[in-house]
Amino acid sequence: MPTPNQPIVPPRSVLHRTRSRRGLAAMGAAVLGGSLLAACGGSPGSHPAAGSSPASTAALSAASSAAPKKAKVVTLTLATDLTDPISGTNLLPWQNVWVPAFEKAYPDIKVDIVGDANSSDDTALYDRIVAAEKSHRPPPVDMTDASILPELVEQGYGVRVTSKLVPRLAEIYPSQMSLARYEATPFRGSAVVLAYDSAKVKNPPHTLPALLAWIKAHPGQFTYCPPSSGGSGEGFVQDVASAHIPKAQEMEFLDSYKPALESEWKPGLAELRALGPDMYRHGFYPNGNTAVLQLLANGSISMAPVWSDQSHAALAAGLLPKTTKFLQLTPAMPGSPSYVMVIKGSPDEAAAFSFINFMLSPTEQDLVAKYMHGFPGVRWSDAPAGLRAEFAGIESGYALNWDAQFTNDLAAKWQAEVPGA
Amino acid sequence: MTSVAVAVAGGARRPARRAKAIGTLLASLPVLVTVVFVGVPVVLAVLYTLGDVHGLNSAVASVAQHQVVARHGLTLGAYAHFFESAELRSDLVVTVVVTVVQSLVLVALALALGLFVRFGRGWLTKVVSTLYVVPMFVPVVIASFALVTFWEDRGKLAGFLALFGLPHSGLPGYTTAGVVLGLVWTNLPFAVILIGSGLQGVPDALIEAARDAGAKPLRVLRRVILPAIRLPLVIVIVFSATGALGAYTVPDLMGPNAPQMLGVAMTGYFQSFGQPQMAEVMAVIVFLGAIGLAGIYLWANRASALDRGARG
Repeated sequence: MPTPNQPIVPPRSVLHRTRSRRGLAAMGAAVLGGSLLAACGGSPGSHPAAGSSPASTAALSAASSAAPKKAKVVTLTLATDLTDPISGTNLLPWQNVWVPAFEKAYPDIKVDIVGDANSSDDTALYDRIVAAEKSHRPPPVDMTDASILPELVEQGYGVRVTSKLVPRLAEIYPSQMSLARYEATPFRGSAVVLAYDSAKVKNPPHTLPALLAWIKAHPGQFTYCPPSSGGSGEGFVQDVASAHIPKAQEMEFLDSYKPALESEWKPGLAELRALGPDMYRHGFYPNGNTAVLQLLANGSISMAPVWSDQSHAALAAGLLPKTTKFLQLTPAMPGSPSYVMVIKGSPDEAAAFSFINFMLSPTEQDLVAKYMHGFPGVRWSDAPAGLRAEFAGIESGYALNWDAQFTNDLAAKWQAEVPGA
Repeated sequence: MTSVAVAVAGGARRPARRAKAIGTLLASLPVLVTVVFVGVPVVLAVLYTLGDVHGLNSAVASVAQHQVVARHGLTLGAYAHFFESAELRSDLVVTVVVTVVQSLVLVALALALGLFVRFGRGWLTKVVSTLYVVPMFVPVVIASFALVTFWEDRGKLAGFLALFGLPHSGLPGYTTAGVVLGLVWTNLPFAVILIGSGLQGVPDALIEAARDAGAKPLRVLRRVILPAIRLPLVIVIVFSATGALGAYTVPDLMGPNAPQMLGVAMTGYFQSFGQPQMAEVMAVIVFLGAIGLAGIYLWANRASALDRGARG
């Protein structure tokens, strides 16, 4: 029953953006407030400008603005597949929150959102960007944060970001910039963190060995989702597997797929298999990120790995007990930044980078935290104080998600060797 | 007079031929659609499982992991990998067991309900005959989710049992037994309607004659009723088993993490593990099983037609 819209393999890239998105995508289809609103929510932003060239749109809006004193209004287009974090709220981060804040600060720049409902739309957008480049035309959109971004970066479609174009570049972790080859800018992030009910757990573990010991000491109180069903489970499994991998070798799993390396996972998978009897219901792994949150919410379990953004959004919406607290292990579990990029050939490059720079400002970073419960795109030390307060305990960063082909294999091996054995 | 008659006959023959041509054309449309949109992909998928990664299979093969590629000709390597994997072997076994058990339970239950409605009298019969069609109008996704949350360890059923101090462990939530129950639940209306209508067709006179001759109820069932409803029985078994063989929604929502039924496993291999070839190997295996079931159906249909012919 494969869905034709879904790519068979998440696009392979150093950015691993599709994997982290899984957390949010799953949230869109969440049973928590499950409705098709999320899917519909992606499209109201769809704009006819998607087809026409941005330059002509800009000219049109300039011509129609009657006020003679006003400078020419530039219209940017941004293609996105981001939907509302809690399905059904119908509050779309770009359309309803982040872009209005920017347009207030920059009255001369208008940003039109082109919403992509699913990955097949993204593929079509990718094709159109390639076609525009080949025929020496401006790209169909000026900016994107959609799931095709890693491929665009890999093919060199991004304008190289410099501190001249984006003065706030200094506030971003250089490692995150080089992961995107300086072609895209991280503006938010999310990681797998440990959620626990502080009413039941007084002394939560802060390291992986302490967590594993806690699970054995509290049988039935912990579980995670199968890695194939959600990124939070995938992050936890990767964390346990990488604990047994020599430090020097760990970097090899971030890029260039070499199946021979996978024998290193054996001890980690054996450890997870041995934990089975102490898991919730002696080894039951609920399907998906949301199902784990539901078990936390109804008190079936008292601790689990969860996505930072999804769980904070659920807590804010009252879908998790008020006593739920979060912490990040040391060393941290995996996560990933989300990027936005300016596409080469955009006639309004300067305006686009003003937009990206503004996305890193405290104003926008506060809004990222408020409406997406996302980590800041900038360094924690440069993040607004209120935002650091919200994520106190989990702001220590995150390990990077492995290459998609490795995580595919990890999910397959987990299925065969952990619940199956 | 004769010439007129011939002319009329000739005129009638031409429209008849045209009608036949239109009929063939109309009938060929669905066939054509089936060939293009079902037949071609099936052939491509089977070739891909045999290691052919060229032509229209090159797109799927370019992003696949762990696939077996035939150097020249075709290879059964991917099938060998399937049977070498202990995980997939147990998935296959559980798929077969669930299919067989759900068919048997379904037929037994449908027969019991059908007999009750056929021979029962009074208001209870009416209530039962209304209730058993209810699952038909509940979407499978919703039914599966409702059932599993009802009878899981912390569900309403466990709470109810605990209230009366009854044991409430070993409930069918997220177990293979739960999958069987779920499949029976969703297939029940169709089975009872078919078997029930078969039972309505058994003449009262026949049953009374058997009783008058001194046959006990079980003997009447075995010698008179069951032979009369053989065809609906076979249809129920074949159709529900075909559905169970490739079931996805019920085992995905109600089943255990492992072993998985093949429908669930192939989705995982296709969408999450980046192994479309292994997913298609499983699809071909399920497909072969379904063809076997279709064979049984055709045989039963033919036997029943011959039967009618002999009687007629």
